[in-house]
Amino acid sequence: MSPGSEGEARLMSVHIAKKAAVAALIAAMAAGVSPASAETRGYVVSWFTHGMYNVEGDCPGGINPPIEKQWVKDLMDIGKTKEEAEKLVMEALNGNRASYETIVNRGRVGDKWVNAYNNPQAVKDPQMTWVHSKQGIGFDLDGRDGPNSFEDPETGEKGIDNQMFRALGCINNLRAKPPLRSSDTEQWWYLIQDYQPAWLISITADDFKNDDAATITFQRALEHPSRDANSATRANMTYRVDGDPRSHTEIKGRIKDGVFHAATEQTLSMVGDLLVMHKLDLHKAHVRMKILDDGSIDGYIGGYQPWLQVFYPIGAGGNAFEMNVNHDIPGIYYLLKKHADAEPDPKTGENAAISAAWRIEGVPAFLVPAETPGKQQATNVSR
Amino acid sequence: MRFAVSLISAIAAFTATTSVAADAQTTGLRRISPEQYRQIVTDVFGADIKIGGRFEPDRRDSGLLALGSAKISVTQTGLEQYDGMARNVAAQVIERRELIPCKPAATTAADDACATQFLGHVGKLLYRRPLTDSELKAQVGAANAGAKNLKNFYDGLELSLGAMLTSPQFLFRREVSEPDPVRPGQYRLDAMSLASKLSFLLWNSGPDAILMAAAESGELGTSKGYAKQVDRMIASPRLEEGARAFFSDMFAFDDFEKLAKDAKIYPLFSSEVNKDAAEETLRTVADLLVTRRGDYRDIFTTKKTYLTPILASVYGVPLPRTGLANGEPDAWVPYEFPKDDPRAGILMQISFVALHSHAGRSSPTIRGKALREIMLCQRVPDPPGNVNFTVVQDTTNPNFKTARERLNAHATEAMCTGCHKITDPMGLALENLDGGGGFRTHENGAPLDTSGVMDGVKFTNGAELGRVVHDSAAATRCIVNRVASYAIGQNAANSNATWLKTLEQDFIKDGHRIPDLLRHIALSEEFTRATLTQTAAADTAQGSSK
Repeated sequence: MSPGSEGEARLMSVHIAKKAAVAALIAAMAAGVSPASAETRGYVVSWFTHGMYNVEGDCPGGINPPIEKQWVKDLMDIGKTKEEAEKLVMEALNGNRASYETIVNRGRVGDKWVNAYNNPQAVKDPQMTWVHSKQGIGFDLDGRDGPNSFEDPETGEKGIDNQMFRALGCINNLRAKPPLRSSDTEQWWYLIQDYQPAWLISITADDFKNDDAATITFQRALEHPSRDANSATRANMTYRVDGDPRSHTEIKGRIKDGVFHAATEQTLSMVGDLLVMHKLDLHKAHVRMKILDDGSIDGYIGGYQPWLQVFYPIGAGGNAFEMNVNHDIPGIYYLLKKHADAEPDPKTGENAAISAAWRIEGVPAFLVPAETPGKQQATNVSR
Repeated sequence: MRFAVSLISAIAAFTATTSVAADAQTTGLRRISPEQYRQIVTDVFGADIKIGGRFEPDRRDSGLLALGSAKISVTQTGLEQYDGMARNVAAQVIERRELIPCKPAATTAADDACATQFLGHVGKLLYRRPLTDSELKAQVGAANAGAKNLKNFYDGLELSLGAMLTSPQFLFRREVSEPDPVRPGQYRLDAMSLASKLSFLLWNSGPDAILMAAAESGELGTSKGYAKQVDRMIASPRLEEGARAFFSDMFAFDDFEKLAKDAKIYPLFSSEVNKDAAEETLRTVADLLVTRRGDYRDIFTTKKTYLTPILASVYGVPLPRTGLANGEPDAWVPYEFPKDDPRAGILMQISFVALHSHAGRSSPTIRGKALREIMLCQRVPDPPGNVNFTVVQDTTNPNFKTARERLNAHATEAMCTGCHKITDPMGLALENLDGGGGFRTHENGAPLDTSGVMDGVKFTNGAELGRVVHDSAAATRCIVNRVASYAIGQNAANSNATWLKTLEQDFIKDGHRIPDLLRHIALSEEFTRATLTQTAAADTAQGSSK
């Protein structure tokens, strides 16, 4: 079977179900996603990651070093000689508890050593490098093409604000050029699928190719995503929509040539999981979502996001996270803080938000209302 | 190896033993199926006993494993598997002290009385007859010897029970005949054999205590007493187990064990789907035919089924999950396809279309052949060895986008045309279902034409094909033949034409109800009389006794 015909099959299955299952349609309407005469298509998010667009040479001087080298530098920053630092790192990697503790507690508050992941500000800025290229994916959030703006390689649009990409784009395991995925987020996504309640999207329109009055809705399910035979997110599953208003954002937009566009002053909010995103709040939410012929969706959401929301899931991973995914956590703290570009604190003047774009994909799903809001599958809170 | 050889010898000797009346004969011997093994263990020891290991493959004969079971013995590898399973089951049983109705005087020594009580009780249930004095004595002796050596009563009991579970008396259903007092010069099954045969037919397990008591008391030897037991068992909810076993055999669901799909082409066909597909059909059939006492033919047209959320995703219909906690399985939920949905009947269920397809594409020919052979009992010849399938297999040829186009091109070869005329029209009607059970209206961008003719009757799609099969006399004749053959353990069409004709007439008159058909069969002389069947083990026994 060709990809095209398989796609038709899947699309057809959604159509059949919609025509046939009056109950599902009523359910979707009850979930607040379907005006009387329009068609609503449901999706479950099958992939979610930072909106990256890395190209060769975008990190002058090279990408940030692997964690064992970064640690040596960090330890030298707290007064160790190079030899001492290298010895400590080697010992820590070989399981020496005391050396490990030295690395973990490399923060300094007064005369005390403190945990660097809980107190990244107590660590000297490791001065990690960031993206200097002109290409970056996302949205023009401020209407200006400034010195920190990117040009979107997909749309050709200039003035793109995505400082999150600029900050994190030189960390090896986060680097990606679509359609390829970063190794880090491949791991994240693989892990969270089995316990994070699924994120749901529905699009309502009269015409899914061109419609000036379409709506996209972001919600969360009570169930986690199911896997298919390839361990990817299974299409055509049914999800009950969690009534929790913290994960419900309805955004008006338009569909042009099969792509949903929205540029709003709204906040797109979702409750997530520890591993990728505890809480997502995108102020001045923007959406660009391709509605593909195979029944799936693929696109970006963006806006100004509290930069600590981006940091927390990284920082919460602690030393294990640093070792497994090669991140210098305090370094990331400083990168995000440094590149935050919006919502200055009235007192300190420090920016609380960072422009960001997130890549998001979805496969067809049936959305029905939950009988009992708040009754959900267990999430992993052990970390 | 020595163990295996001795057990094979035991099987051979099994048919020649004289533990029954002097004028009795062993007339049938059938290896119990994996499901019967599981069911007996569950019935005797409880549902929480886990059975690991793999059973030996069964052999299909005249469309049924039940017929092949009379022609298979046990290989050495198979015996090792049985032995492993038996030891495992015995260990679990002995761990559950509540299953042992007595306590030994001392746990560190043999206890003749307690061993006799336990082994006599479970032996009767496992062997489907009371143990002879010598058998019981041997089993107790083995338990005592084990207890003595291991200095533990329960360890000895475990050894003896394990041996019982690898005994041919347990692994084979033995039919013993005795002179028929009503028909001088003829033989009938003895009461225990009849009880066993009836129980395996209706419940797919050994006789329960009531049936065994009826056999022991002589009640089963009377027409009235026997009919009473037949009616009791048909009225029982356990009839569903018997029906499921039969249809699982008839529909060749054992083939799911070796079914594999290309995950790239059919990503929704996961291991859960493979596991649940047959169950969907068995639930559909059991609900329609046993619970609701419906018309057999409606299995080809019914819109009602049972689904799990994972199966629903393959069908593309909404069904929320019910297993809330991680890892908790979802419940099976009754589901009815809407009237305007193009799917109906078991021919359009995943179990049929996926099982009778290739790993990466559908196959109208295989589906049509399966329909002819399984549902209509019509033999379709295998293709000759020198056929060129290239055109059919190449799904990327832009000149032949659909299976119909590919088959038309293939059928230009004269040697192929004849058989494809028999199979393809029905298989093409099911082309709306791809090889993984997913619905489609196009293949490679070309619309599917699902119209055709079966035995002179036209249809336009799979659901209409189901209606044609529903109305087909061949389908009715086939199910009667299959159930009758399954019941007596041999192909009824070979020697029981008159009986089959009568059964078919009664089946039609009764509204095509399977429980009624089972009743007619169970009460017939063809079922209760002794019929000599040629068995692999019997062959061996004959050889060894000479």
